[in-house]
Amino acid sequence: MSDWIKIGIGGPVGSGKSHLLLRICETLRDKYSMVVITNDIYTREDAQFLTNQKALEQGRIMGVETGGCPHAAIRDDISLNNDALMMMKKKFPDAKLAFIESGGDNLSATFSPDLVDYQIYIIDVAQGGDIPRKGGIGIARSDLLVVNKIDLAPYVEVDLAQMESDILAARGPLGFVMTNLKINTGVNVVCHWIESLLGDNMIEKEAFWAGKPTLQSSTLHHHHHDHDHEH
Amino acid sequence: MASDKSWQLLTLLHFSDSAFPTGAFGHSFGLEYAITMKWIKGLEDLLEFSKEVLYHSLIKGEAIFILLAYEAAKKNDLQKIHLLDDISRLYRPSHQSREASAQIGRSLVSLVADVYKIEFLDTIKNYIYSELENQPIQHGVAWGVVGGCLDIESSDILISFLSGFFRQWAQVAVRILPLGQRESQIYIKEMNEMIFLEMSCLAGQVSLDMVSQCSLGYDMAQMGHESLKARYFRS
Repeated sequence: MSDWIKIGIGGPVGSGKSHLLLRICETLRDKYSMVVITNDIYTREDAQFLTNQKALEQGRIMGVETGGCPHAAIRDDISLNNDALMMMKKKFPDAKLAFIESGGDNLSATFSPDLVDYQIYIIDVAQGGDIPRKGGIGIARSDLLVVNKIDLAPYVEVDLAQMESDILAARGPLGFVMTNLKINTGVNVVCHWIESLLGDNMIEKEAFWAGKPTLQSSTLHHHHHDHDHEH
Repeated sequence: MASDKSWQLLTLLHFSDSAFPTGAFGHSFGLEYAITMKWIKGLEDLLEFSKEVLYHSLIKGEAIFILLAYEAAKKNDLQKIHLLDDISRLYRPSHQSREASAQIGRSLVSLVADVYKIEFLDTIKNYIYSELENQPIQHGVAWGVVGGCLDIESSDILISFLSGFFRQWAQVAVRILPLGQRESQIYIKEMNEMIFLEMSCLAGQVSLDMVSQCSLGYDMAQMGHESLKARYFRS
């Protein structure tokens, strides 16, 4: 692994990718040197949003206009983003965290392991409670799944308990967080997870989630054992 | 049965494949603008526009840089490659097109250097990332360098670049123009025939004095693209 951690944030259009990044920046920017690369198909709107919100100091946010298909730019052909990362690393050699926000895409979008070390996938409740059941690589295999806009559940008739149960079935021991980014609900859990990935605080990914109240005990024991007892 | 020639062909097929990740999928090099402005409405217009670009811009410009960079790479002449890259960049009046070309060139050299482990390509890769603010390395120069380093025949390296350029345009046209897949393949075949004919212009020794590219429509399309508000491609 390189001397910085690269984290991809993917998810459908309007799920809250930029908002999540804003909250992460607000929480962690005073502790770590960070850079952000945003992907848009047509424009650099997301970079503009984060810049206007002063998520990070000037120059640390770069907008990449991917053109074509946004999933291609994070998975099949990462050249545009790789180029942007190289430029950012040259500009901020002390950066410890780099975030790459994908353009809004469908459920099959995922990041190339050549581009990021970890990926967060974000969906929102208003897109339908059945999304975790429909699955997709982001839902099933991302390192962290964020379910945003939980405050809207009653208005769109989504049963959060059912959604949680579907997520557990789809993801096994991989973690997830329910958030309402508007009022910062769940942001600390996301940031704690990110900090656990950084050198000095390194915590095993699976161990971090052990014992979290949202996970059922049966699911927690899906981790790989290097000892010979049964739980 | 297999010969050195077969290995060269396999290598060329590898890095000239549109699936070889250089970021080229995101660029239209002005074609999106030409279509948006209705300069191009169908296959016939597209062929006419492309033939002008082939003859007045690629053959009289980019192709010469490719061949000269190829020769420089064969001699491990880094200084000459710098010079060619600087001059080649000046021939692109559109800022975004220059950026796009450099982005593709950088990715090509970096990935081929990583995959094929050629020392001279590593040297160029280091030069690229130490000079990022100066937008190295233009696509054509990079293509010639890679071809020279991988010992591909110069005529093959040139043909593959030119054909690849128009294959990319075929993809652009399919995405944003009502050009069907059958028509797009007719377009590629027609352009391949044109490339084959035009190659005779470059027989023998080439030099920088031969660069005389001038295709205003192509340049204007690339410059115009910079101001398109909603667009599918970068430039």
